Amino acid sequence: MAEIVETIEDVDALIKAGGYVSEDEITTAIYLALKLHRPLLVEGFAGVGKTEIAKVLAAALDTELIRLQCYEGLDTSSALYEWNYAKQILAIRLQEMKASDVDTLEAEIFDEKYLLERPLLKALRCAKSPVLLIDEVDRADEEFEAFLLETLAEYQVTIPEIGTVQATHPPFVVLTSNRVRELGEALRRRCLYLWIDYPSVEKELAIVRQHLPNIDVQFAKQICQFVEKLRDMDLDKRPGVAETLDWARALQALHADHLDESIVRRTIGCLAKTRRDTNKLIPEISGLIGNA
Amino acid sequence: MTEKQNADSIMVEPCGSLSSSVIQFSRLLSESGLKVSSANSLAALRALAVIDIHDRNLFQHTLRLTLLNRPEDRALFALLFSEFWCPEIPEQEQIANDEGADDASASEEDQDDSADGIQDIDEQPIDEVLSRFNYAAFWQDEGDESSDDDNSDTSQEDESRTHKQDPGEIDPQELKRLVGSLARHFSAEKSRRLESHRHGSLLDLRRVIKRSVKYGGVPINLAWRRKKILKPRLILFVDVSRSMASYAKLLLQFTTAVLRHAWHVDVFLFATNIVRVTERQLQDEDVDLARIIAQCGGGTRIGDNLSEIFDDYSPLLTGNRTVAVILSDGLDRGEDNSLALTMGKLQNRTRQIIWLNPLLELQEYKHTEREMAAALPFIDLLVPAHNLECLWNLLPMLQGQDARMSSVS
Repeated sequence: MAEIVETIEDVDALIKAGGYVSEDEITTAIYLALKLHRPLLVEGFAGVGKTEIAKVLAAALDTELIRLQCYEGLDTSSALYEWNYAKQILAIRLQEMKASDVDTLEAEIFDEKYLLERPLLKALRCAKSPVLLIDEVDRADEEFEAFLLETLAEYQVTIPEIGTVQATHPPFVVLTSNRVRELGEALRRRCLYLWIDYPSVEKELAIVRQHLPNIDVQFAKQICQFVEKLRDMDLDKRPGVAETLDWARALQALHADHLDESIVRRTIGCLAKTRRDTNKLIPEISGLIGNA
Repeated sequence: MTEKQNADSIMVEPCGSLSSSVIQFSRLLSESGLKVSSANSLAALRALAVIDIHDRNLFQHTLRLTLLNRPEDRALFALLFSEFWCPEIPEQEQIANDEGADDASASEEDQDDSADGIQDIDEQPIDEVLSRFNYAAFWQDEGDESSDDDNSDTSQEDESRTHKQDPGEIDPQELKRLVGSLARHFSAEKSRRLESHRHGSLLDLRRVIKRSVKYGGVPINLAWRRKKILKPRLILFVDVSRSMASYAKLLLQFTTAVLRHAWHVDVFLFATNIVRVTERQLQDEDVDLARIIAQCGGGTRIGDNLSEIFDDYSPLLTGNRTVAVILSDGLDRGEDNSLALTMGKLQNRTRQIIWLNPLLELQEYKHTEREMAAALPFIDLLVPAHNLECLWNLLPMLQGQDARMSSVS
């Protein structure tokens, strides 16, 4: 994998080819993560493109993207592996009739074919280094973080019944976090840390034009400026880049070519995601358009 | 000392090889409050080996990716970076680090005035107050039914010199009951994680199968799982400065009771300095508690002391299940903004911050202290604590707050 990315320019080219509008810092982060083979911890607000990085990386390296979505209470049986109990019980029943001894029975039951691979194990056993995306790791709890730390340090796990599984092609790990909870120090230090903030108007414009090539430039600029002002307002859920893209697509679908009060009102659901936000936003619309 | 002043005192020119400069830079960062470990420095050096170091932006990005951990440190990092690596070039990323740098030199003359306006400093040094009080005998005295008079009302009459309220004699049984119910409240939370247990509502199939193998596949011994019950960790910060002398007895007994009857507790006594105490030290006759408290000094520096906790005891604060309880009157003589900053950091790392303030019910005390007012937005629950009755009121408040929090989220 390191042969494809010799220089930062290579990384830049690969990412651009994947359709991701990047900045110097992000490109550097990806380059270093690949070269040094360190996990990359990406933090930022919702909707700024953290998950996109992993997807683009997988596409650029032409490798599989394995995704592990974290939630509170996530444990090893959902993250690493689990035995297929139903199949095992059936096998036991069938073996009963053959009246074999315990050792044969055990060897038969704890075989690969009864092992359900979950994302982490799958990532370790891939034939080609995959990109492992551990999404929203701040939603998992401390125990899971400790377990992750152990796995990421050695890229190996021990399954008691089978043995130790060592990754022959260690995965490229990308962790994302929404900063709902503060992650532990050890995990932070193990990874390269990248903070992605809301983009500037220029960058957002570039992203919109990348995804919607047919959109009018002036219109797109108006959209981006509107959203940027929206982010300064005190809303419950600030709109991210994903919301901007949704809105731009919606406006295009309605064949709009400039912003006015009525069209913004009709499409307000793309930007304001709670009732309070909607109520806060509606009186401000003309003001926000007017200053653009 | 603020971060900027710290930085100034050890500012050095980059010298010698690149590696030693990078290591010096990471030391500079550490001393300025950004925690940088040697593993990080090593990663930085490895990373620099694979990039073109003549590109300044790239260089800065690389150092930031490997040495920086939190977005709120970015401003300080930018400042230190430009001062260390290119001192003659004006800083391009001028995100002014206002909180630490400039206001630190603001005058603090109001602090002493307002403190004296509230109350007189008790002339009896605190160690004398406590040396009269024998903890070991106290706990053995089960028969000592000196009831808890509600002195909160009566003592207001003899407010000749001191404006404080005498908490009165404390009934050990009642204290025990109080702490017991608090303990039950805190340890009642269930997490979504499952753990194996002797009895529960879900079958632990993995263990059932394993156990069944020896019976030829018949699940004779069942194993169960249930939702894990969380036992949060409690950190108590007890203010033992001179101004708290008359409440010291009540609060230290409360602390001892908590240590004894409850869950995982860490206790810190602080005044000018901060000291950690264990249950044995509080209980043991031979240990000179008075000397420990004298070690803390007489003044109060809440913010600076709490920030020392982050450095030395950071494992206590990870994971967000910690509940921080601060028992103090909030009369702080430390740096201006340190309390607000530290409380902000504490809020990020703990689940709840509870502040027990003995002076809360006094008419004169209306959060005139700038520091206490600055800390208010970070506190989840602010409760008066001048006698046992107030402490009993803590429990329904906690339950009420939990109900509100769960309905909001």
